Amino acid sequence: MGRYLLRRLAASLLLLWLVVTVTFFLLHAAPGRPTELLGDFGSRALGAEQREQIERIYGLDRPLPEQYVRWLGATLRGDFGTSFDQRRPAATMVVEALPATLLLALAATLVEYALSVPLAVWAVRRRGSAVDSTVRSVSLVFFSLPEFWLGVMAILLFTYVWPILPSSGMSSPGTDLTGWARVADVARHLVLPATVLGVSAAGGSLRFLRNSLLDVMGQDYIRAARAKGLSERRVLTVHGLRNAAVPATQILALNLGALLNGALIVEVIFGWPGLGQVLILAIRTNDYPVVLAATTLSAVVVLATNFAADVAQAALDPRVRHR
Amino acid sequence: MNAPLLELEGALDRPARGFGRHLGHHFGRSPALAVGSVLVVFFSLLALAAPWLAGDPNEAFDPVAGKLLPPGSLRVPLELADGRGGRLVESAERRGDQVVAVWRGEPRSWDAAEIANLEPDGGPPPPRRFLLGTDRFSRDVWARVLHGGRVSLSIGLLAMLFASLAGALVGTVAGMANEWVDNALMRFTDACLAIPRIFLLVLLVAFFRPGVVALVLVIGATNWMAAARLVRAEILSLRERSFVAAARGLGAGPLRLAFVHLLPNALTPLAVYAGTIVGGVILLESALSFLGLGVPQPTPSWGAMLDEGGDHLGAWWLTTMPGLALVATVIAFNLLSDGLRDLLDPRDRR
Repeated sequence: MGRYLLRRLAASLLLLWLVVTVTFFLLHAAPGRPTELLGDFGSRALGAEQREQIERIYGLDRPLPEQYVRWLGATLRGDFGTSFDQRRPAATMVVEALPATLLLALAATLVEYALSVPLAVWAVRRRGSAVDSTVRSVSLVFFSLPEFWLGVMAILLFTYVWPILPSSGMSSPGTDLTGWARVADVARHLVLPATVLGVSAAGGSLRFLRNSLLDVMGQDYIRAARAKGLSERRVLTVHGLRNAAVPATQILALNLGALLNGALIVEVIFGWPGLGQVLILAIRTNDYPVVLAATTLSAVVVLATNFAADVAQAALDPRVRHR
Repeated sequence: MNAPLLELEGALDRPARGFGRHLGHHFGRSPALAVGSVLVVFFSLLALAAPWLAGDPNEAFDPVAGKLLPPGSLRVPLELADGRGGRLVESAERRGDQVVAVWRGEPRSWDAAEIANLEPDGGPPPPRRFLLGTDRFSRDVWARVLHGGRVSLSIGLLAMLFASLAGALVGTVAGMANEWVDNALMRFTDACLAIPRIFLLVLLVAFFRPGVVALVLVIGATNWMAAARLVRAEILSLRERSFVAAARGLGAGPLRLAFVHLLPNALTPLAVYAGTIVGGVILLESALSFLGLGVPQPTPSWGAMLDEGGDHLGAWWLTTMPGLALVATVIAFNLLSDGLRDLLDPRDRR
């Protein structure tokens, strides 16, 4: 087990290095320099001299390999540099935004599984019936619904036509709530983005769960459980779902990547103050340190989840360890 | 629309004949494949015929009175001479040398000479039905939705082609080369899979101020990985087969082996894979356009229309209509891809 995990860990670290390196060089290969935008404030346009001066301060005039080595060294020490745009440490900006994104992703995962697990179980119990084909159609439709359209539609319906929920932000502006009142306020703001993200992710997991449940239900131990005289419900939920959960851990990890993808767009739509918002703004302003910090952090999150999924799978299924 | 289906049904009666018969067989058994292909053909025809079904998607009919008209509105499009723009009037008739109209609910009249688009008999032009209403620049939403379909479908298909070709290339090289090259290529593929796709997309797009070509390349560049793995796996299994050994024995070089013997045999799964990603690729294009990173304005695109519509929630058709078009198209492609997947992996269909 130890050797297996060590190998996975080394592979994850190698991948992480590849990801950040690719991002670094992509970013610097791009046309458009960070100082270009500094000149865009009307009368305060920067002269060439000032621009050079700023580039010197941030080390942008150095050869690219040198910049890369410096950046990598600083990053390994946990120093992601200072945002060009906001003059704050890039790491702070990104780390501050992370909890919001994780909260959104977690809530969306709950919505996703609250939808897909019961539907998958129902479809498998009535395999081949009208229920089953309806569930398959539903999963196809969910799968085809883009977050951004669902999001705009949700805003149209629940904040405009029937205004019961807030349309943007994470808390009501101008209020200074504490304790439970604050939790309730954030929860109200969370409902729409989490539902939108969860529903659009549910299509994939519904299909996957149905298929892996079907696989499991054909196994001998299920026949044995039935032969013991257990009720079909118990066979499905205790023996079926539990075994279907093994491949599902892998999907859960992949899913997080997909959720982060979706979260980026959902955050923009709902003005949710998370990582996606920070990244999009940083890309628009050529804010290199923040882009790099945001990409690195999200790669860490994705890879850490993949690693956790590997660990979980190795724990759930002894065969994996001995490959 | 039924002709190709009937042909394929006929194919069922013929003796076994490889993939063609396989396909025909599945058309009969998989409603997803049949419905999906019919819808895909239908939407493609709609997009192809857009210039004839709906006029210029960028024509602003009347920036004053033609903004945000609800779906189904009927207006007479008058065009003032000397490029003074258009007027969408509720009704118009010719009286002597005057054209008398109702504009913004009030009577209005122009000299006949001032109107550039009178009929040959001197009467006003026929009224125009704005099937899906107009947007904030008084452009016809129906025309923009149809033309947006052209953009989405062509970018989707081209990106799919590019992704499949790139994947086939990487997969073939990995499958044919020695272990070291194979390992390096496959680890690189894994690395590309590990970056959240939209991150990569947003990064790339932000750099190559995108037009259609850049979008195709960028979207293709984030979708080749699975194709590469698929082709590599196929090639690894194919190259152990006796017909390959025979070709090698007859003196075929590696290029000839790859392009004449191996790739053609790996084409079916690759084609099926390509079919399965079109829906997702169209969604990606729309997502980028929605974020303002897609095809530049004023080219109509569904994602950009949705984004604009978000500023005018009262005009519900601006968000609903392009969204429905997008979802219907993606559902059609996903149905098709579902059916195609059944060909490869019948586990789904129990």
